[in-house]
Amino acid sequence: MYTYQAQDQLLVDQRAAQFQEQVERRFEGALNEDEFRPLRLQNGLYQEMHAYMLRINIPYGTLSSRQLRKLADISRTFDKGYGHFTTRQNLQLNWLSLKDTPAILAELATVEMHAIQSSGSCIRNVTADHFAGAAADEIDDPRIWAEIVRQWSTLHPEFAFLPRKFKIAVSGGGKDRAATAVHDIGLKLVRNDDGQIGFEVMVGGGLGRTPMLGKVIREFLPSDHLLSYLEAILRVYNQLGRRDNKYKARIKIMVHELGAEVVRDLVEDEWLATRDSGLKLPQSEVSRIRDNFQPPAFEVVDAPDPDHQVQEPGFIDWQRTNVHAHKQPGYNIVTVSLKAFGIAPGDASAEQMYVLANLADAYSFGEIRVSHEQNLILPHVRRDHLPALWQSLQRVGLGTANAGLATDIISCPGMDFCTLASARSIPVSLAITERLDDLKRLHDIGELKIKISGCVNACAHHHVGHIGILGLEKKGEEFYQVTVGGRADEEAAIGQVVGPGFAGHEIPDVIENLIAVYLDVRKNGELFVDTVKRLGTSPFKESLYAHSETR
Amino acid sequence: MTARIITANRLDTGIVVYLNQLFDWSTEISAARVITEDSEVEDVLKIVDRAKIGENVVGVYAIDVDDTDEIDVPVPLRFRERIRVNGPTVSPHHVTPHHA
Ligand code: HEM
Ligand code: SF4
Repeated sequence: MYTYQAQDQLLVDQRAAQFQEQVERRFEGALNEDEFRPLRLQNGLYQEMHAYMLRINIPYGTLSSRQLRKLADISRTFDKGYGHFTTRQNLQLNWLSLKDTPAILAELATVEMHAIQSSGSCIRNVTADHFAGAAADEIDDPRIWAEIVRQWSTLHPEFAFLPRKFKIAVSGGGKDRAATAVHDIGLKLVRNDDGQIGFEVMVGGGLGRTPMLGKVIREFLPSDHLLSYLEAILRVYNQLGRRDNKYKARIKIMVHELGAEVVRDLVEDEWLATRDSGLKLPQSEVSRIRDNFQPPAFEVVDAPDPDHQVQEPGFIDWQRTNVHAHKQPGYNIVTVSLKAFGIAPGDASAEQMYVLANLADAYSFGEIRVSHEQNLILPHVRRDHLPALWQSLQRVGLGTANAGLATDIISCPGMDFCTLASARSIPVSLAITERLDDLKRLHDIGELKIKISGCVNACAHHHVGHIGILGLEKKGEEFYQVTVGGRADEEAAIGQVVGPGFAGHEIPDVIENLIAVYLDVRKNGELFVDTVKRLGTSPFKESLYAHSETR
Repeated sequence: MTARIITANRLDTGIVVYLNQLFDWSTEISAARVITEDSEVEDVLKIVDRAKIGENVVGVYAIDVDDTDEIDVPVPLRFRERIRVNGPTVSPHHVTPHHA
């Protein structure tokens, strides 16, 4: 893991101290709310429906057991004893007081964490493949490059007041597990014909009220030019991005209005002028960062496969969905599902965080990852430790065998917490989970990604859900628009609306109906989303609206 | 007009409060001062904005409530405001052991 240098530590310590003073001045009345709001947002503190909410960055989704324990401590001491992991690889605490927040920031600083740039029109927390450093299919560890981006973008003076928020995601180059196509900049590690490492650069992806997929503007960017090229993109956006209308201010609109070719030319021109400046990455600096991400001391494992030791059906199911290939023989990556029955997607209790921190120490070199799908990951688990790990996870409600299945739902906080919401999302996800509570059937349905947002801001990525659900409001009533065929991987696509919306209580039936159509027409081995691609939306529409001409 | 009450969130804790009869903030909606004249809403909001009590809260606004005689407690018309009164409609706490 990356270890803070003296200057990193100084920065977060000073920030916590400054915020302490700002909060005091706010209470004394020396700052009014208009003056104070930007200061608190710069530290990730929002006023939500019932309390203050703090958004804590987990850069590229990597956590140490020590950090996870600290998050558990904080949620127990200052919140209600749980936290909400989000699609942005952040942790949100929903029940905080303003007066406690400076102390929380100081606590976070002791474990090299903070909430800087988790809000506002700046470069946000850089996200990455949650299997980074472990995935069998990666070209390089994306965290090395995400860390370089993080250092460059933290308090970058030129980009503190962009037209709008800016999100960068990095994938390891194999399967795209970082949803790069729906980020302002998506970086994919690639290797050229000479074997050099570089990036394919996508710009202009985003969700919200105008979903768009990023466009590739460079097939191969040599890795030592990463920062000079990013700086060129940001500079073009900072000048040309629209500041007149907040709904048109994201870079996706600029790319859409100017066209990807024009944007590419502008970026390349800017880059030509600056590419060999101080931003070119010296090899020594890359090596220094790389040293922080050295693989752990893997052992040579010659124990028998766990399948031969454990016959429990629960374990076999869990292994099928929650255990993934690792680059190191004898090891696996484990997805710890935060989608247990009856629990809001992404929520983890303090107790679960403590247990997981201990399990990470025992089985995964003290490392934990946070996925954008709102699960936690133990990245380096010896194959022969899987049964013992599974049993421990089971005991604290973390052993649900549903990674990638229909109950592994991404859900935003929705109207239960969020001031911007049009409708609730958590209860809808719970109702679906309750309806589909038959593990055998879930496994038969196979991979099916359902994503639910409580308003057009699309925080839960509903546009790229295989089934997407968008909460809206009409005459004071919640209703839900359903899309199918979206996906966030290397074949990224925006889902298509199936028709008029539904009441919340109808959604489990709608899901059942869509699944029934799929099971009926699927070809061998075809995923739900492949069936939609092959047949379009019509069979689904027909089935959904067959009995309701009045709709 | 529909009846209105004034709501906000406390500056220090962020929790939901309502303006009461004594021109102070209460966490209980049952204590809320119910206003039935449009002009009075404006006046009250102005007073809160200038007065000392305005300093303890953020995001002051008026909401529509049902305040017919049969009901003792004002009930907000908008669903969102009812969630602010009662808290999340889902249990925010973790329930373990879990359903396996
Ligand atoms: C509860 C407080 C939250 C607020 C006030 C909030 C606000 C917003 C807004 C205004 C947008 C639209 C931005 C735009 O289109 O320009 C947005 C997008 C987004 N937010 Fe949130 N959000 C919240 C919670 C979350 C949570 C819990 C997550 C993760 C689960 C999240 C992840 C995202 C993502 C992924 C997007 C869309 C991607 C994009 O186009 O940037 N947000 N949010
Ligand atoms: S999608 Fe809307 S309701 Fe959900 S968290 Fe984002 S802003 Fe709030």
